[in-house]
Amino acid sequence: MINRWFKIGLLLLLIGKCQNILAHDIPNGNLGPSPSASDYYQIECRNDESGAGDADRLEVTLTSLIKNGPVVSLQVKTENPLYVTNITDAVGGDKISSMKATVANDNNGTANGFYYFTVNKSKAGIQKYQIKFHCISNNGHAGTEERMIQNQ
Amino acid sequence: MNNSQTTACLLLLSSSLSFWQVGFAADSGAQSLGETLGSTDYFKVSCLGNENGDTDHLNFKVIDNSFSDTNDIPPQVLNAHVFKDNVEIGTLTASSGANDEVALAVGNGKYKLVVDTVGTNTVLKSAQKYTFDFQCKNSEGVITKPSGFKNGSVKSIKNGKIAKYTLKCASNSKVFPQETTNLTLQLINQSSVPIEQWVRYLPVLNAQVTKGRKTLNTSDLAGDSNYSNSIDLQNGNGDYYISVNHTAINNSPNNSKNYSIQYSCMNGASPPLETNTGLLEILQDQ
Repeated sequence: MINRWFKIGLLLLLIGKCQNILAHDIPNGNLGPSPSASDYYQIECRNDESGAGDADRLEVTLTSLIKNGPVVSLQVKTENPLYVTNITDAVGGDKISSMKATVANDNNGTANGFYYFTVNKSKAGIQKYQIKFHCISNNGHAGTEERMIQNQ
Repeated sequence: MNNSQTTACLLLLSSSLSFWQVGFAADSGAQSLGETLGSTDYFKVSCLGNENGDTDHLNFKVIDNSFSDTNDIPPQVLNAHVFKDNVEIGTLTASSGANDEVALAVGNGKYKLVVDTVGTNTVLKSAQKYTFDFQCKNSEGVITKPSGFKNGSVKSIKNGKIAKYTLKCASNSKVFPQETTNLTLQLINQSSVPIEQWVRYLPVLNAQVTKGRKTLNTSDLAGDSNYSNSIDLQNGNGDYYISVNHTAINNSPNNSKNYSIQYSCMNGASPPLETNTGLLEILQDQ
């Protein structure tokens, strides 16, 4: 009995740890047919007191999923200092992602804080996408939250 | 002028001004975006109210001015090499729509002609069409007896391929002197520039407008004088943020963009009238 509870406890502990190790995903993003359709996300990197510490940087890749669909791009914006960069996955459905964007806020020497993703495409037509992102600390993965602001 | 005429005149004048206000847009002037992957320019425009009321939306469009004519496209080229006894004695090079000519002081005999596409723009995949004007002449400039290529017959060659011909100059008993003393060869590249192929190869210019919790995107291709689709981001008075970037995924000098944007803060009337469009502030310039 004690053995079983011990195993359950150990399993729960491992799940908690794994959530910090695993990358964050937006696995099923979907841009509608309008040429101006855009999705918008807010990402927060933070010290979640799990032991990984403060964020040092945010890393992001984009993968578009529909073959012969419109080319998809993602802009990453930091708040402090203000900086915007762009990544593009030009070929949909080939399972090859965009180059990686690496950005960092500078809030009291940490990359904690808010980041913004805008996702859009180069012409009319539906396209689906996946975003992988990590708030990286010196000891692994820092706390990461995502919120969708606009869904088109 | 009586009162009704004055009224009609004023109405006409005010409607003309209104039309002018609907058509007016601020313009960024020429801007440029670098070739580095991820390059992004970032701007801010402040919209306020005026006598036309509060801002309802920012109207926005962008144009990619990266190339204005076919001279901006790295050309397709053809080369023709003339050999006598395996020694190269002349070379011609002609890009799309152009000619090149050579006159060689040679006599009767066989000449090998080799055509290739070395140095061509390999992004452009269309086969090139060409022909020759080939003459053997005596010392008086009179044609002797050329053979081996039918002048004006149109040939085609794909990138990376070669074509070979054997030209021959012989004496002509019907002219004096009979012997050949020179050979003239004109390479005529009859290809047109495949502009559409080049435009499809170039990265697309994207521009996003964001304010608060709203964002929209518009895109433009190079190679024409048309702006992108116009977008209206509806979020009232305040600061609108514009980012401009390209879809390049490989390093190339052809990634860089020349562009301009037009933008207006508009009210919610139908048709909309311009409110107070602030100056364009550059926040990031890449």
